[in-house]
Amino acid sequence: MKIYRSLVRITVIADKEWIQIRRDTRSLIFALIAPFALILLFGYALTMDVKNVSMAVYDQDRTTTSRQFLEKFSHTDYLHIYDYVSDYSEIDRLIDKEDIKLAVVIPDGFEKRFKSGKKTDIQLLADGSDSTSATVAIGYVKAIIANYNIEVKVNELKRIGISETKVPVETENRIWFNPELLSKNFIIPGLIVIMLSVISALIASLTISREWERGTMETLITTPLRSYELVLGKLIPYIFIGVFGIIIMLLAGFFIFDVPFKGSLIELIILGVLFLIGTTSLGMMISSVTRVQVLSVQLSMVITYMPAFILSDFIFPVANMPLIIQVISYIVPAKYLIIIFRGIILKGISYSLLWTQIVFLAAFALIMITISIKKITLRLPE
Amino acid sequence: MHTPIRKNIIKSLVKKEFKQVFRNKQMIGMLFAMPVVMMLIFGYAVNTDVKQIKTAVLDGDRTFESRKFISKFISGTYFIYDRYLESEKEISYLLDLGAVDMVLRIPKGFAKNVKSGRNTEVQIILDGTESTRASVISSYVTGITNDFALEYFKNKIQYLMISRNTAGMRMKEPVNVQERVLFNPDLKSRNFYLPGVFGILITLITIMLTSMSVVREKEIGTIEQIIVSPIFSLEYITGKTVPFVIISFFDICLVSIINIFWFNVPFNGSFIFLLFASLIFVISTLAVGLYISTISRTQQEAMLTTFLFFIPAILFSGFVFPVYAMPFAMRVVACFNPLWYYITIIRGIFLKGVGIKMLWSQVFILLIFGIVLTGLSVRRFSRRME
Amino acid sequence: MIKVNSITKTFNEITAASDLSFNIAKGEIFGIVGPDGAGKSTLLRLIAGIIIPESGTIHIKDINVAENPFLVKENLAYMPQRFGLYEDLTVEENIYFFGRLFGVSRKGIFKRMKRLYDFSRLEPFKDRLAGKLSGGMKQKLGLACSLVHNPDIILLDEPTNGVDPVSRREFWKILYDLLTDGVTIVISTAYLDEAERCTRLALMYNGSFLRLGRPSEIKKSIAGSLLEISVSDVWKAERAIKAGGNFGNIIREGSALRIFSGNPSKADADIRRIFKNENIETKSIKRKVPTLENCFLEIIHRRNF
Repeated sequence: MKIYRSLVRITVIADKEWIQIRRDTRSLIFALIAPFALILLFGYALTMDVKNVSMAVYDQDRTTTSRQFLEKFSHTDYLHIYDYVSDYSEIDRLIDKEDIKLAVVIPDGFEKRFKSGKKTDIQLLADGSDSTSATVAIGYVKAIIANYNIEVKVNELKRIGISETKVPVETENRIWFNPELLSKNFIIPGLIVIMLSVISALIASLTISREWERGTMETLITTPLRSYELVLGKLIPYIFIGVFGIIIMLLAGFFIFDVPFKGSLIELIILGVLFLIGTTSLGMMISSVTRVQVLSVQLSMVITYMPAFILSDFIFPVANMPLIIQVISYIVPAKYLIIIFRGIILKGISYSLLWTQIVFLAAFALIMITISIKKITLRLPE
Repeated sequence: MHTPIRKNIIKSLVKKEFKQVFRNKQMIGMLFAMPVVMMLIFGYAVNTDVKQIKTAVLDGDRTFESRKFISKFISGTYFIYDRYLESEKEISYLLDLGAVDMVLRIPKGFAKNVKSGRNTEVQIILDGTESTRASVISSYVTGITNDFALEYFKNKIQYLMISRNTAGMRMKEPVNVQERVLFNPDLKSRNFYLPGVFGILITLITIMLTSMSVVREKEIGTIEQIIVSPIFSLEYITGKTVPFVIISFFDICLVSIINIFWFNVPFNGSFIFLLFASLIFVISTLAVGLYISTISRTQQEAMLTTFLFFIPAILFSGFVFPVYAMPFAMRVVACFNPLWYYITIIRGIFLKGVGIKMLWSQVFILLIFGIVLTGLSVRRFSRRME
Repeated sequence: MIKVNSITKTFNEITAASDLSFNIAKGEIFGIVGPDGAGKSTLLRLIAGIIIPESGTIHIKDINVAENPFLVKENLAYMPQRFGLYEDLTVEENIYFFGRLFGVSRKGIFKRMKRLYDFSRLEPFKDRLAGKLSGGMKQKLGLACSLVHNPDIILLDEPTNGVDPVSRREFWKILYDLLTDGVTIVISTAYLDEAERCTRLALMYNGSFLRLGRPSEIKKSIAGSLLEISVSDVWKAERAIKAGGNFGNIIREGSALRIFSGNPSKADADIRRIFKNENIETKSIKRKVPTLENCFLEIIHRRNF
C-alpha cells in the first residue's frame, strides 16, 4: 500500500512535468525538434570529408611531358583543377580568396631535365590554414606524384628488358567500421550524446529552480511528497524525451544517411538511459542548490554541456590536450557514452567490451541520484 | 517617426549602464573572466593534429626485410609503436576496444617476395570511426609505402644497370615535390581553429549581454520607467549598446593577446583592420541581441533563444565544418550568417595577413547585415516601447 | 488539535517567533493578526512543518510535527501567501494533481471536484490555465486545491491579500461552510475586519503574541474607551495634546483625533481645558466603541512606549 501510494505520487509528478514541458514551446524545440534538425544538418551539410579539393595548375613548361604529368591530377575524385593560371600572382590571389587550397607549379625546362635524367623539382603550394584538410590534400598530391614516379620506373625497367616488374609492396588499406571514411558516421553517434547532454543541461536543470522561483515548491513541500519521489518523477519525462531523441536520430541516421547500425539497439538505449539518469540528476542537483533558473542554466552549461562538447572526443581528440585536461576528462560522463555509442553503432560491440564505461556510468548515475535526493530538502530555505 | 538624438541623454545612459555593469559581480565575470577562461580552455581543446598514431604490428614474416619495412613507419614522428601482436584474433579485439589506431600486418613470405620481385600485399587495418583522423593516417601510410617502392625500384634499376653493364644509359630521376605550406607552415590545427573561437566568443558575449541586460530591465520593471520618461527609443538603444561595443573592443584585445602570445597563433595582418571589421560585425550581433530581447519576457527565455540562434550560427560559420564542402542549398544558408564572414575575416587577418583589398566583400556584406538588422530590431523595439 | 509549546525561531537575529505557546481546538477558525514582518507566515510554516524551530515542539493530533512530518502532512493543507499552484496547468489539472499527490483516488477526486466547483464557482474556467485567472479566482483555486483531500487542518497564509472585497466576502463564506464539516482553520491576515470573524485570535507583533483570545475578549482587554475629538485645527490640537499631558497614542483620522483613555470623563475635561488655554475651538468629543483595529494599534503603542 505504501509502495503503491509512492508510485502514484511519482507518476503524478511525471505527468505534471510532461504537461509543463508540452506547454513550453522553447523547451519542446530544444527537446524534440533540435535533434532532428541537427541530424539533418550534419547528414546533409556539415562534413569534414576532404574531397574535391580545388587546385590551380601553373604549367611553365607546356610540353607533352608536363601535360602527361598533369593529366594524372584530373582522374581523381579527391582533387579538382579549378583553374590553369599563368602567373604566380594569380595563385596568390586565388589562395587568398579561398578559391583554391593547392597549386602545382611545373617549372620551365621540366621536360628537358626529366628526359635528360636530371633531378626535376615541381612546386606544390598549399593553404595550410585548415591544417587537417591541407594534410590530407597534400597527401593526395604526393600519392599521385609517387604513382607517376613508380610508373616511370616500371617503364624504365621495361626498356631494360624486364617486363614483368611489379610494385614490391602494396598496402591494402582496410578501414574498419567506417570504410568510406565518412565524417557523418563519426559525428552522428557523438551528436546523439551531445543532444542528451543538452536535454539534461538546458532543460532538466531548470525544473527544480523553476518550482522555487514560481513558489510552487512551497506548496509541494507541504504535501506527502518525498524527495526521492520528486526526483524520480521529474526524471521520467526527460528520460522519455532522451530516448525519443535517440530513436529519432538513429532512424534518421540509418534511413536517410545510411549510418550503419551494427550493435544492439536495446543495449544502446539502456546505456543511454543510464547516462541520462546521471546527468539529469546532476542538473536537478544544480537546480536545487541554486534555486534560480538563470544561474542553474549557466552552471549546468559549464558543468554538463561544455565538458560534454569539448572533453568527450566528440570532435576534438582528448589525447592532444595537456595532461591536466586529459585527467579532468576522465570524470566527464559524455566521454564514456561516446565510446559506448560509437562502439555499438559503428563497431557492433557489446557490453562485454564496454564494461569499464558501463561501470563508470552506473556509478555516476547512482552517486548523482543519491546526492540530488539528499540535496532536495523538503524545507524552506532560511 | 523622426527622433532626434540628444548627446547628453545618451551620455548619462551610457554612464548608468557602465555603473550597473561594474556593480554586478556576475556581469564582470561574464565580461572579462569568461572570455579569458573560454579562450584558454578552447585553445587547448581545439587541436585535431594527427600525431601519436598508436600502431600495433602483426609480423607474420619476422625477417630483416619485414623489420626494415616496419621501421619505416615507427621511426617517423607520427606513428608510435604500441605492441606486437601474436594472432589475428587480437586485431579485432584491440580495434573494438579502441586501444590502437592502426594495425600493420605483414604476411608470411614478405622478404622472399620482395627479393624475388613478386608483389606483396601488406595490410593496414585502420579504425575508421574517427574519419578525419583515419584519412590523415591513411595518407601518411600511402606516403611511406610509395617511398619504399621508389627506393626499391631505384636500387633494382641501379643493380640491373651495373649487372648488365649499361652504365652509359642514364637513369631518370624521380619528380621531386617541393612543398610550400602557406599561412600555417607547421600545419597546426590550433592555428586554424583559434581565430574561429575568437569569433564565436565575441558573438556569444555581445548577443547574450544585450539581450539579457535589456530583458533584466524588463523583469525588474525599470524599463517601464524609461518608457514613461522622455527618452526616445533610439537614444535608449544607443545608450544600451555603446557600453557593450566598448567592452567588446576590450574583450577583442584580450582575446587577441591570448591568441598571439599564449598560443602563438601567427598574426600577419593589421590590428586596426581587425578592430574596424570587428566594429562592423559587433553592430550586427548587438542588433540580434536587441531583437532577442524584444521577443523574450524573462532572462531565461532570452538565454534559450540566444542559443537557438547561436548553434546554427556556429555550425554554418566554417569554424569546424568547411562551408565549401556543403551542398549548394546549405551554402546559401551560410551566406546569411554574419559569423561566417567574420571568421573568414579573422582568419584572413591572423593567418594570411590580408587586408581590406582581399576582404572588402566580406566587410561590405557585414555592413549591410549591420544596417538591416539594426533597422529591424530598432523598429521592433520602438513599437514595443510606444 | 494543535498544541504549540514554547516555540522559538530566529532568522539572522530577527526573531520571527519567540517562545510561543498556545493550543488550537478542533473546529476553530484561529486567526493570526499582525503587521507585515510580525512572524505570521513563519508561524504557519512552523505548524506546517516546512520550517524547523530552534526550540519548542508542535504537536498536531498528538503527533510531533518535526519528528513525523509525513504523518502530519496527510491530513493537513497549507496555502502559501504567494500563489503556489502551477500557472501553466489548467484549473482542473491543478486540482487533480494535488488530489493525486495526497493519495486521493481518481474517482474520489472527480466526486470531490463537484463540491469544490460548487463553492468556488470555478467550473466555467476549469480548462483555463491557472496563470490566466484573476487574483480572487487564483485564491479560490488555491483553496480548492488544498481541500481536495478533505484535510482536518487548513493553514491559510493571508489568503485574501490583494483580493477585491466581493471575493473576500465569498472566500470567508466558504471558510464558514467548511467549519460545519468539523475542519480546523488557521488563518493569518493583515485585515482587522477579517480578524473579527475568527473564533479566536492572536495579535502578533515582533514574533510574540500581544493578546490571545476571542475578538471580544481582546477588545475588552484594553481598559478604557475611545474618545473621538473633532476640532477645527487638527495639527495644532495634536501638538497641544501631546504637550499637555500623558494621553497615550494619538491617532489622526481626517479632521478628528482619537485617543484611548482609562478614565474618559477626566480625559474629556482635561482636553477641553488644554484647548481653551491654546485657543482651539472644540467641535465635539464623543465616546466610541473601539474596533479591533483601534485596539490593536493601541496595544502595539502601549507595548512600544
